[in-house]
Amino acid sequence: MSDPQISVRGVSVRFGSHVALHDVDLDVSAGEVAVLLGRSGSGKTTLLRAVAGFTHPSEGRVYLDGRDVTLAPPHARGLGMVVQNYALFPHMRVADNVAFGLQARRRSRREIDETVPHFLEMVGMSAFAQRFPRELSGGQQQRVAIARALAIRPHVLLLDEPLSALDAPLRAEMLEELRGLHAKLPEMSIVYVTHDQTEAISLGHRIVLMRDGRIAAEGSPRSLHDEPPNRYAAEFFGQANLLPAAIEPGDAHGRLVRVCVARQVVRATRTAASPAAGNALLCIRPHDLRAAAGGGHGGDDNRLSGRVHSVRWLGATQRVMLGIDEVSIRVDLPGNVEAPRPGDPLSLSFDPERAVLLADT
Amino acid sequence: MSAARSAGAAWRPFWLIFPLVALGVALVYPLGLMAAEAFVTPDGGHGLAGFIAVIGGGLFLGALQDTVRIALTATALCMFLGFVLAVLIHFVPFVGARALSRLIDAYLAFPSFLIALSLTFLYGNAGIFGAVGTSSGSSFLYGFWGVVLAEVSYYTPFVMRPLLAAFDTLDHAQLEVASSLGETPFGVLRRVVLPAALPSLLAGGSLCLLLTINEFGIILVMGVKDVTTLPMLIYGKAIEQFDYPGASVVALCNVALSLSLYFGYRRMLDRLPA
Repeated sequence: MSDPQISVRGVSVRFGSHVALHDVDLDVSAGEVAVLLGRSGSGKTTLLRAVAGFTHPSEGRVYLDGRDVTLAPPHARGLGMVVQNYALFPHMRVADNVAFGLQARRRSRREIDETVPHFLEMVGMSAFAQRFPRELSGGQQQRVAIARALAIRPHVLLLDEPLSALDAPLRAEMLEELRGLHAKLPEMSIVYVTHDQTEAISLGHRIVLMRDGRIAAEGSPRSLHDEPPNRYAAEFFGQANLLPAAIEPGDAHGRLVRVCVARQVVRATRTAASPAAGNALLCIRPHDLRAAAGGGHGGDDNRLSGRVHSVRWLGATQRVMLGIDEVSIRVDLPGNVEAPRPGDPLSLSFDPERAVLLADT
Repeated sequence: MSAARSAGAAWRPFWLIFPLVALGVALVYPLGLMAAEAFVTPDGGHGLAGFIAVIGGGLFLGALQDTVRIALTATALCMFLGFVLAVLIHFVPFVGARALSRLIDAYLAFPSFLIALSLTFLYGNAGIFGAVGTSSGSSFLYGFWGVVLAEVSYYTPFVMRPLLAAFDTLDHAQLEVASSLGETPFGVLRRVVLPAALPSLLAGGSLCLLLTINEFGIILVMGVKDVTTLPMLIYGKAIEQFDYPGASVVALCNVALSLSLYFGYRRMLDRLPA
């Protein structure tokens, strides 16, 4: 494997007595899209700013292409950056905004005249080259901001919640465009900060889930979704149901184990994050549960039974809240089937491969 | 309802009468008297002879030249110094920056002659550094550069205040993005900060220019000998020589100069990109 394009080693950032980042390690390979995902205050933007050079680590080192840039100023790092509010220069026309970085790097007039139209065309903004930023919509401004960042041909592009100021349809459109852009520039690494898991799943080769200034979990979107390494990752990423469970004695080995959940025995999958025996959490996604035909519960056909608390129709799906003993779980049933009514008994079945066991911590 | 509204509309001109009369009595009438006085000839009649004699005289032309030179030099220095100090206060973090910003607000409330007086204690003939710039037995303070120093000392905060307000509204993400694109701190200042603050800088500078053109208190308190400005010339003609027609001619020219600067400033602001 080649050396990482970005390497963060043991980075901590303190603001007075507040520790915003705790001893974080992160590597991003060439061409990789790493998404820093987390709630507000989780440290994702601080980590991005430490890479960009706007925040100096209290401890640790930052390397770009193997070069130690920990103390290098932002203008000496050669990174492209796009921020949430676009930060276009209001006194410059679109073409001048895109040319800004090239002029800062003392590129020749000829190179600037060739490069600016190329990147404006790449983001579909050629027709707006002579407009001022105030004459553009939010989506158009974001496209210009991306073209401006790409025009300096950076090896690394940093995106700090770039779509959060856009409405939902435009956001979906821009996500597709970002994917398309990366396909055109496959060698460029992208670090993308967001609190939106849809954006994270759509774009990320790897998701780095941040919490309280630490990396809580990281992996591919599918691995984090299917086999979350811990409770926080399971809850944050996909809103999984977490049911207290006890591993049945004698099932200490093997991939599939029997567990007792609310006095009902079902089968689930053991992963690297599962405890060997005793108490655990059964993690199952709302959309992996389906209404079972007929009554009955437990046993070989992997059923859990309970009573419907509420039903909310959401269009493509309907969210059913089901009470199983003292536990309440979320179930997403297709929107086009007859909805159960509150108070009805309901049996749910699931594939044991889609239910994983986590440590109860 | 509509009858009450139309009755209110009928009374509307009445409410204009008082402010118009007050404005006429307090401002327009005295200005009219002054303008009329400017066209009184030496034999007590009316005509252009006295007017032309004053504005064609060496005293007036010298005062006009001194006034414009002092005002332009002081304004240019105020704008430069004000920009540098405002940038330092806003962008370079140091303990007490906020207190310093407040002090500038308080400084604007000081009378201008206080500065002149304090400079006299420093650089005046009997001051601590009285020998500085002395070539003919008199401190530099009583000449062109003395007036400029006093005006720059007093009027620089008038440039800094709008600049600091403009910096407060500046999107700092723009500075960071400019930096990430490879621009040096000086380049960011020149290509991002300065254009964003330009309307405020020009507004502060124009205010400075208007005030320095009409500055009187500083020059009077300093007892300047080597330069004469238009306000000093008006003072001399009216108070010392009792030449009211001559003082009125100079005052009219001073007003014309101020108004042309003001309208030039408005026009320049209109042409700036929003």
